[in-house]
Amino acid sequence: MSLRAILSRLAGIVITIFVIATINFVLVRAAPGDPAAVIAGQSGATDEKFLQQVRAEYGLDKPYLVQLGAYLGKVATLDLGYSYRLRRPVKDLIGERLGPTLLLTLSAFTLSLLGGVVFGTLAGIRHGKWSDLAISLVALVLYATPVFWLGLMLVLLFSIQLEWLPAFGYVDMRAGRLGTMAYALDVLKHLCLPAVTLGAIYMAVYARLMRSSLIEVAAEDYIKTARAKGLKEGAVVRGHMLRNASLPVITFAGLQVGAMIGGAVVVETVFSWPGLGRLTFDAVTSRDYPVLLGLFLVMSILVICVNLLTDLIHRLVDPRLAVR
Amino acid sequence: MTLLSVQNLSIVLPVGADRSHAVSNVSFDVDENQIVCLVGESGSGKSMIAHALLGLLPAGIEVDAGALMFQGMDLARLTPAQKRAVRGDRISMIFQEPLTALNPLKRVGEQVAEAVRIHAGPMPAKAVVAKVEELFEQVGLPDPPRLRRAYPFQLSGGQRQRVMIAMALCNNPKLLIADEPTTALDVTTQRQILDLIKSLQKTHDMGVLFITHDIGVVADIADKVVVLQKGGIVESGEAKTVLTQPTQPYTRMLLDAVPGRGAFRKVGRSTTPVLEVRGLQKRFVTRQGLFAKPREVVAARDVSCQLAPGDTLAVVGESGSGKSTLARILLRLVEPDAGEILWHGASVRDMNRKDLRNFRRKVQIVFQDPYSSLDPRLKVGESICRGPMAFGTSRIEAKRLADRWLERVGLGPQAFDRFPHEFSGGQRQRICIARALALQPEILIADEAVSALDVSIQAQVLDLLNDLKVEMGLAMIFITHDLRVAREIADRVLVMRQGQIEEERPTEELFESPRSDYTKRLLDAVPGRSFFAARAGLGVPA
Amino acid sequence: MNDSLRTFLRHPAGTVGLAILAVVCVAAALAPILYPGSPWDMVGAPLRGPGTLGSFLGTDTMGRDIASGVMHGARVSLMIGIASTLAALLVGVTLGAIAGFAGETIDLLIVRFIEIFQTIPNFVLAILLVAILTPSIWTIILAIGLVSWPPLARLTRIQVKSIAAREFVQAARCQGQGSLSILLRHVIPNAISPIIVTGSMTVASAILIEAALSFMGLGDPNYMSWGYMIGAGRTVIRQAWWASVFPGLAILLTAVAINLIGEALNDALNPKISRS
Repeated sequence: MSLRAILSRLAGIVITIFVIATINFVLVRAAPGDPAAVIAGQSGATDEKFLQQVRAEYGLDKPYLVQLGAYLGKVATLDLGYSYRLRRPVKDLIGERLGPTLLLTLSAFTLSLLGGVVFGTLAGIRHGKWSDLAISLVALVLYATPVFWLGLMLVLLFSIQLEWLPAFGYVDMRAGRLGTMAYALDVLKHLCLPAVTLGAIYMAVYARLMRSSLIEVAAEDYIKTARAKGLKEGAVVRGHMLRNASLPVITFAGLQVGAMIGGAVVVETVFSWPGLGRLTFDAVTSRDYPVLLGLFLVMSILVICVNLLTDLIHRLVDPRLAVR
Repeated sequence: MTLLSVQNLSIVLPVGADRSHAVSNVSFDVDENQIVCLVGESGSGKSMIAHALLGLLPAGIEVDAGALMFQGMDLARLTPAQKRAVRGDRISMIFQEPLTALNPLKRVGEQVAEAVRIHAGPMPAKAVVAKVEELFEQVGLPDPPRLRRAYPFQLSGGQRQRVMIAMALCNNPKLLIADEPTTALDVTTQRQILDLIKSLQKTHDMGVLFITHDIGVVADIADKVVVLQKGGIVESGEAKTVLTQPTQPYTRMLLDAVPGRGAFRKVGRSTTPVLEVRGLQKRFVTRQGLFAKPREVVAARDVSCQLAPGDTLAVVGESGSGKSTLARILLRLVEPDAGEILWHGASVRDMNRKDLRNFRRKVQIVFQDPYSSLDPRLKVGESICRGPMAFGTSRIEAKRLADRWLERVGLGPQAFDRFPHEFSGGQRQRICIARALALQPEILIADEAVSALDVSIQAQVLDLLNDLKVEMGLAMIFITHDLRVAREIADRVLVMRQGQIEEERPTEELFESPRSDYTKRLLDAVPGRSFFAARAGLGVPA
Repeated sequence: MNDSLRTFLRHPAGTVGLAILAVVCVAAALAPILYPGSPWDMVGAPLRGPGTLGSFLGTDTMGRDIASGVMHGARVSLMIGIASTLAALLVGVTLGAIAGFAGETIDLLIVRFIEIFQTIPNFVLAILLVAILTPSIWTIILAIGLVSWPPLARLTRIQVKSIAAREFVQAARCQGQGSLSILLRHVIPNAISPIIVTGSMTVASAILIEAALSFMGLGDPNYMSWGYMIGAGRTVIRQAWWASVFPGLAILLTAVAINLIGEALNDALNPKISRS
């Protein structure tokens, strides 16, 4: 990657973040009623004196452009505002929830990508056979399943009926005392259902894509070349189809990260997973707007980071991009 | 000694295809150390035969009768494992489009090395690399250690085909199958690849089965020729005999349809030009991002030329020469960076919308690809009507006009209500001509208008264009990569290379005594040139 | 077009999808007749199992009839799904067509804009919009429409661009036809099929987003919706599985049906006609 390309990327990121921050800013002003009341939220203390204080702090009496400038300045210095309801800076609230969310989304992302590629490949190379039909059907149904409902059904089956896995939470109270290893194992046990729930939906998406991509690649001339060399069918698939067919899947996975984080919000709500999603739910329930606005910004930045990562993977897999 | 013997081969097509068999009852032999050409137009089944030999037929298409005897075994009856042992070892194959035939994500050296390793058994990595580099050397690739590590997109078309050839040669095959290996290449590159295949055939003592649609190529390289039409053999035998004394009308027609053999056209006396171009400049700059370095391609560098009424100017060049861009600039479909276009002395670049519309009415264009130049959702008659109607002709009058033009281009008015997909490529090109001429233009620009057509259809369309030109007193700009077509139709020829004019002369002068080295090279590269010169009795030794 | 219709009707997935969707539509239409009372009304004892008299899908924690809720919910889901897709189509197709047909600079700007919107986690934006603008049918439609347009815009842009580069469009220009006429008569008709297909699938995803919003408690409080029912049934899943299972099945079936129809449409409208 040339210096120019890196600069171009960075500029794009900065612009994106500022556009998102501007959306935030506009939203608060577009809300019905007094923006000060919106920021204060239903924190109980909506007396005039308190609102005055909020107005002064956010400069709400100044012209819009000045307000926007001040807000962007705050964002640039990572000041995400203050939750009057929880009486803590939003930055801190988000900071302590970031870890579990990253753990959940990254496991689900990996799971969905690996599973999607594997199942999609199986369906693609057995194009038209029963195993293709079975995989395609399951993918079709999963693709149409509401993610929170899938979570509940898994709880119903694995926690309530079979009692194999915990239904909610991040870790048992007792586990903390048993040492690091046991603690990690317990977290893993709690992680299973949420990660599978979130991963399964996207696995279906990627499997469908991988399947059609593989069928397309199988018709390419270079596959004929590979066969004309005398390669075995397995070697043709491994050596010439897999990497080529997974390119569009990687691109699409990058595009889907935003949606996946949205899914995480719902999944965390279902499983009481103490991450950003759960925080979102609580903030929605209590109409804690400063927290919601901060969450939106941070999640967007998360998406940008993962996009950078998928971009990097893309460059590793596709030499045509690396050279540019 | 016979190397390959195809005996009574039949290949069955799936139910619902336009015919039951792709190929039926085809027999021919390929001897060791011999080049056999399978020649035929599209739909002749020539490619199917090649694919059947290696068991690479598409799903649903299979050999249903006959034998493919090769070194005592029947290729049609091998187990999958036996097939794999033969493929790429004793028989190897190269394809038409070297870009798509190479895996875009793997280094070319690695792709060749793979072919070495499959059949040679375990080999130290160093030995494989040495072998690959030696092969690259043999096929004339420059700097093998560096090129070995390149990806296909970093190579030129000719280099890619050389890589394919290196891959095919790596296990010293007895038989090389070449399926239209030069069709996708520029004419000078085609010449190099043909020479390479011919010399490698000699040094490796290979039998070569060469599939082509171009009888000129046959004349250049074949020892033996098999002429195919609609899945059956028309005629076969020694190349010399078949080409010089064809016994079948179809073979004769193929030979006669090759353009550019008749007398040169007379150059008209020069009058005031209808269209004049002065100092045209055009660069294409593609931006890839905010700060990314833009890429630049020069499509026109100081291009000037004139077109007299009733004249035909051929613009000849290889891919990337800027010839097609020139056509689009003339119509202002692409805006030039600098230069003048004068239409009866009026500047086209300064025209307002109304004048431009009237100008375009008088300068019509026929495009290369007959499949994308007609709106698939519009009845063809409708496509023709739209033009005159845009200039105020009534619907009834436009319909009458369209019927008349469909009749004139040989399709008949019943074609009016049919959709483009119901027509063949040649028929579509006739429709496009009708659409252009229905506006009564003064100039017709033909952008590679016959390049996608089979040679027999090509000849018919060229004849039609010639007749219409005389009838209507049209001036024509004929853009083509094929010098033979240019010679057939043009009064003057303009040779372009990388956006610049190499040479512009009356056709006869250019062909008889080319001035620029590049033109000379282009002329030398025309396949079958000496053969056809001899055939036409023009005194050039065969 | 007749050919397309025939292909569509002969498509097994398409017919299954149409059948399921027809059932959902009938349920939505019959809801006020079969269950004239409000779905919010208490009809019996809370947490009665399915199959019991008077409530064949059971009741929830507040004694509300699940069957009534599911049928009334169909109205809201279909309405929001279709309305927000139309909104997304309006924005997406317009922006995409402009980007594809206009000059380089406008195209670049619109592409950047689309990219930014694709980066934003769309569900989170929808939550934010609905929460701040206060939940109602209209804010929900607005929010879902606003987060669903980018894929449609991308697709439209690519389609229009590729069709506009085809030679028959240049030929039309040379024939003297005006830009707008070319866009409307040649480009759009040829570009529209994949947009219709994606648009139909967008209805399914809109229904899923709506369900998730009401699950989070951001539904219109005046209308019973499937997502709300699941959210309400979640806390009692140990005692009353039916309170969340049936509305979920309803969402699942509707979304599957729409996707099946989309796939059949895809096969019917974009046949891969071989060129040889």
